[in-house]
Amino acid sequence: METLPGFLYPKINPMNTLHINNLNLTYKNGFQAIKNISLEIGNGMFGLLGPNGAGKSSLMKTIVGLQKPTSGTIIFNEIDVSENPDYIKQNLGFLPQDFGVYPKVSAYDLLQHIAILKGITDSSERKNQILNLLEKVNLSDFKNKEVHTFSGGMRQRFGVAQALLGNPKIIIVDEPTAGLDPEERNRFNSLLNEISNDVIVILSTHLVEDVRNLCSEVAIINHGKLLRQGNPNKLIAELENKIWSKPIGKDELGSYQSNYTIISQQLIERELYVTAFSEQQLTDFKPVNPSLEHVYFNTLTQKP
Amino acid sequence: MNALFLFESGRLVKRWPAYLVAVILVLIGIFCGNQFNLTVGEGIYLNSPYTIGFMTGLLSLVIIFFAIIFATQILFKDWDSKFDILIFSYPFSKRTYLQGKFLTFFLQTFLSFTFLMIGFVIGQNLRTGSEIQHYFNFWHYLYPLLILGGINCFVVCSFLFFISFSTKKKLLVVVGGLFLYVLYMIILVFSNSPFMAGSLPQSLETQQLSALIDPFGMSSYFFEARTLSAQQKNEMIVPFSGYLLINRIIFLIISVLLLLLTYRLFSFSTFSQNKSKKRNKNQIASVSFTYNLGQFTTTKSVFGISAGIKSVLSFAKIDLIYLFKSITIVAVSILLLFFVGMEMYAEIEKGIRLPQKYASSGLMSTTISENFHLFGMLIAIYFINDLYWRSHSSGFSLIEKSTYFSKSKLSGHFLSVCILLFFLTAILILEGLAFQLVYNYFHIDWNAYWGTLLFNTFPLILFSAFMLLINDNIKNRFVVLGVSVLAGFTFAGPVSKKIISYPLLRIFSDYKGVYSDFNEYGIYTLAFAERLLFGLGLIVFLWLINESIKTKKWNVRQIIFTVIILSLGIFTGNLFMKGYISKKEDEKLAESADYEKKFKHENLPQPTITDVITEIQLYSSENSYKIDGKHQLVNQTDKPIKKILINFHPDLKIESAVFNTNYESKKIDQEVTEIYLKQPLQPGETASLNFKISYHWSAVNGHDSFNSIIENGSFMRISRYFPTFGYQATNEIEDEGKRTEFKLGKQSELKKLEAPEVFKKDFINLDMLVSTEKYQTAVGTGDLIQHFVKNERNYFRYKAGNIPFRFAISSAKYQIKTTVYKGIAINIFYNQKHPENVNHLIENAKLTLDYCTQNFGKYPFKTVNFAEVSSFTKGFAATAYPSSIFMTEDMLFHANSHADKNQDVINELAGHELSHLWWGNSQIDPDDREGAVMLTETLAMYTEMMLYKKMHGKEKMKERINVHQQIYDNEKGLSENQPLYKVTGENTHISYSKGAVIMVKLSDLIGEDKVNAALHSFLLHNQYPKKPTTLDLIKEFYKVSPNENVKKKVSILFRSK
Repeated sequence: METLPGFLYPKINPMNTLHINNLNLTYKNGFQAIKNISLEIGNGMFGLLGPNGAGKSSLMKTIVGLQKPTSGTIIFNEIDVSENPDYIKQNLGFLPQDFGVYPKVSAYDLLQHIAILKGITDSSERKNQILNLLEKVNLSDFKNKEVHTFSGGMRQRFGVAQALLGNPKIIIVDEPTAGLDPEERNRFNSLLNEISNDVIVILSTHLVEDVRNLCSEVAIINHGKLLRQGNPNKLIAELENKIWSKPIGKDELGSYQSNYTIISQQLIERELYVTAFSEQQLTDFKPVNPSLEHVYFNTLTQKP
Repeated sequence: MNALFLFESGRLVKRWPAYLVAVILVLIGIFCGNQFNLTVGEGIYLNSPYTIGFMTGLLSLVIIFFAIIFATQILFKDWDSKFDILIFSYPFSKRTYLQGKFLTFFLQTFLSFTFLMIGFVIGQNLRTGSEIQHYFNFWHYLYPLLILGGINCFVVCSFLFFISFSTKKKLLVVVGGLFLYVLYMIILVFSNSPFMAGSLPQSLETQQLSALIDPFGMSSYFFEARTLSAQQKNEMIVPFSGYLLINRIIFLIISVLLLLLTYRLFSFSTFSQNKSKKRNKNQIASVSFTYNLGQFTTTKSVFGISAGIKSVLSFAKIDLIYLFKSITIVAVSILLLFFVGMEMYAEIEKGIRLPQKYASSGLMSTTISENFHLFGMLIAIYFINDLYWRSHSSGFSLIEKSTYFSKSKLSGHFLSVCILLFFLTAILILEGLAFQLVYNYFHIDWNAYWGTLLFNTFPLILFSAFMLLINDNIKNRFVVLGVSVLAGFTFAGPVSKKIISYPLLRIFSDYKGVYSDFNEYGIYTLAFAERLLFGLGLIVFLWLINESIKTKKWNVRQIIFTVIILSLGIFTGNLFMKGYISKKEDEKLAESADYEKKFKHENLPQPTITDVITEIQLYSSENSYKIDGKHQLVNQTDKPIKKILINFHPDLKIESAVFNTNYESKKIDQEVTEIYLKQPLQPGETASLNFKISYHWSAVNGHDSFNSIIENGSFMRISRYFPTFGYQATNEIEDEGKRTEFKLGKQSELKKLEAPEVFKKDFINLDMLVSTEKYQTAVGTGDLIQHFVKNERNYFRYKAGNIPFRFAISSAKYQIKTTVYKGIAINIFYNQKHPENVNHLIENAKLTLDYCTQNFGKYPFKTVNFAEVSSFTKGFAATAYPSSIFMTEDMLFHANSHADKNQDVINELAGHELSHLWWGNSQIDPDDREGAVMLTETLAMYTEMMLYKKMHGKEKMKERINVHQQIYDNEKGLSENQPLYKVTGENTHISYSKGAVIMVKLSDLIGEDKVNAALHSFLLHNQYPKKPTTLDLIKEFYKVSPNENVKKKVSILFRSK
């Protein structure tokens, strides 16, 4: 390994910041994917929660610099991403949703390629890190196999490995557990959890549970708009004694929806339960302990 | 109707790319029809039913490529899109499924071919010219489309259909398709195909066999057509009978059997079984993910220049892994090697008319250059598109683009395409070397091979850099592909010359010139490199602009780099363009028209040149020469001359020129000058013209074949560039349409044979001092009377008395071999790399001298010079001047005469050219009228044949005569047939080939001795200043004919068409 003068090493445990100010993104076909979003994100795992098509991927791609925002700024560690997209790329780990790989290239070769593109020039250091990451994601035995032939879970693990190459200060993972079975999802989340607290990790997902398990900060977005942001526990606490549930007949749903703030409906043993939000006690309803899921559904049903 | 088929076709009709493809195919077809000049014999029209037939057959090879593409799309679509699970759960029979698939596949392939042919028909019918018949017959196009296009399409489709559904492997489909192509090519060698130029005629049995087993039916087509005469080929289609019919039926049956077999083998269930098997083999069992407590490591990143270079290398590495693991490269390489190999073979073997050539490095390299550029361009377009869009189409671009060095993508692809192009060049050069080894001519000349790199690989690399920019700026890869192909053909392809008129801008073009063992590629190498550097500057500049627009930043280091390269490029570009003369055809035509209008009808008496005294200084290394000359003139007419028209050649610069009579002198500085004399030049009075003119050419304008002053191996028909007197009819515009446009009326007609007898004293005495550079020898016209060295220059003084105004010089670093034979020095001036035929030539020259002096008369000079000149001079194999015969290095003199047992070209060369010293150089000089060439070329052909007989016997001579009969038969349908005694210059198939046949018939009729006696007498009685005609010669033949009956026969020989 080459020795660098001390001042070139990154300072220990620096605080990274990402400021998103009044971000707007409108596609060429007129579809507005991001509407005036502002966010402040620091070190730690940040959850980005929203239904499919809410604009999460658009937001992430914009942060990464793959798309230029129509207006607004993204400031990473004091540097404007749209003015200087190179800076964030120098410090980035990105696991996009639904990525593909080159056919006929082995896992090791592909990681090697990405490592070089990330500017890891020292070959022994590079090799060590690749082997270490492959070890971490349990792919050591397959390093010479074509990634192309990997199963979904293995491919996602490969994705994490490539995102962690180098020394990223901001790691963005977009729907990493989509398509994984529950067991694999759990293990995958443990892996994410291990990623250092000294960096920004933005996790986008539509699974409330993942955010609950991993994130200290969450933002809920839908239709391109930021609806809610905060610490999950605090958000849950706000709903204390405000969530009510009741089994109803199927044909009654319409009238309940017009009379109550129904935030979700759910079948439990073929019986339809509705969950409602209300500051006051609702007659015939049972109180429910609020969860992050309630926060999520409640946020989504709120009229702007 | 089959529901699947309806769905597929409906879907196709709705998508715009289908129309785009159709339009492109029609355009390609138009290009083929308009530009392809594949013709078997020159007597057969390009749009004769026969030619249309084999062109259709040839184009039907494209079906293989269509079918491969469509098979991988249509037949594999269901399991590529993972739709198979659904579609096979629907209630229809496998017959419906297969029928639907095959119908779609076949029709799409056949329609594509039909579009191509529609274009071909349009393209061909847009043509005009002597090689086109002026009528259109729909059936002539439809017939081959059905029996060759249609059936071949069916054969290929069912074959690929069978492979697709029995193996389910795309790769095997591609290999299968290529296999068909190679099979076809091999069979073609054993058929009597005219494409395989130079292959030995095969035995009838082999031809029959290949006619039966050729899957494309071409061999059977040629087999059935072999008995048709040129006339028939022009008028009727090749009948659908015999081997052609059998072949087509056989392959229809085979195709149907393949389809039935596919039906038997195919089942939905085996399909899914197969599929899961495939998955097992390729897919790795998912391994559960255990929790690993180890720490993540991190590394530091560097973003400097060396890291940037490494990232470029990494991009290239990933590309190359992909490229060289894929079957496409292997297939492309094999195709390229095969194609160029066939061309190399054809270039060496050269057919029955010409002898085998030596497989020299130069020949191999120019063959590569002839063929590689276009192929390479298409390969580059395809792979650049493939590589550039691969990260996008595989879905990896999201990851790749989020890295800092994703900006190295373009450079990375550029590097890998460069490596690919170098690889392709290398295998072609290796192939050339292999040919040299196999043909036992392993004299490797790396300079020649270096040319293939310079003229093809480098412009292709520039082109690739440009293509990458196009890919980088258009968002849809298929649009890019279309734009790239279009850009390729306009900027780099064969038509780019017509589109880009300014030569400096043709930076992607190739150079298809010759390679000479004297001169290598000449100054074209440097000029080409200069233009390439300019191109490099331009491309680097475009890259800089592209990057700056993309990043919105200006990188100072890159700007400096660009400025340096661009300035260098502009500097060399200037060097390249130095001396450029833009050739505007219209201006030239207008000048000729003007000249004709002004001077044609004056028809005033002019003085005649009697003596030419000149000093010519050759500066080979500067591509220039200077002429200092004096024409002695005399008024041979019986009228005083008042007006004198003097013409200087437009390519030469007049340094000074003065016309002197006894009373006045006039300065001349115009190309065309008419002088008015105050004191007319009286009959018998003399005058003179003193002139200094100079010539220089530069690569950007190209060299003039007959005025090629080059570094080594120069040859100039120098008398053509000397000033002349009187109206020059050779300047007249020939094109009838243009003549009416300029209101010029009829072109000067050739003098009729029966016109009055002419005596004209237009011979000159030549005194020519030629000086050339230190190591070179100059060969002139006439006898060498003085040689000296002065100021490190070699001087040669040539003198000839009483010769026509026609002289030439060559200059090169020569090896010289001299023999004195019966008082006449025979000198061979040759390139040191070409010693093979020197002794043989000397022997044959002796033989010719003996024969001609014995039979026709004394040899008029003291020496016979045979001088080899570079292949930069085109247009003849050899040309005779008084006492000197010049031979180009690439035609006969340096041919592999040992390889061809059937032909002794050296004997032909010596016999023909040397006999011209009797026939048409100074002993007789027919004037320009009908039949004149019979007195020169036909008599030279006769001498050639008699000498062949003497050296090789009557049988061998008859074989040569048969070849000439064949040449004549092939070409006679092309133009109006003339009787030999009225033949005109352009009809060489009559004056040379028919002439040889007739003269041999004559010698069979009245005996060689009598023919020679007649020729001897003809020479004696028709000497200068008489201008003899063919009637004089026929009179001599009558004289030696024993009776009226024979006379009649002689008359028929010469006078019948």
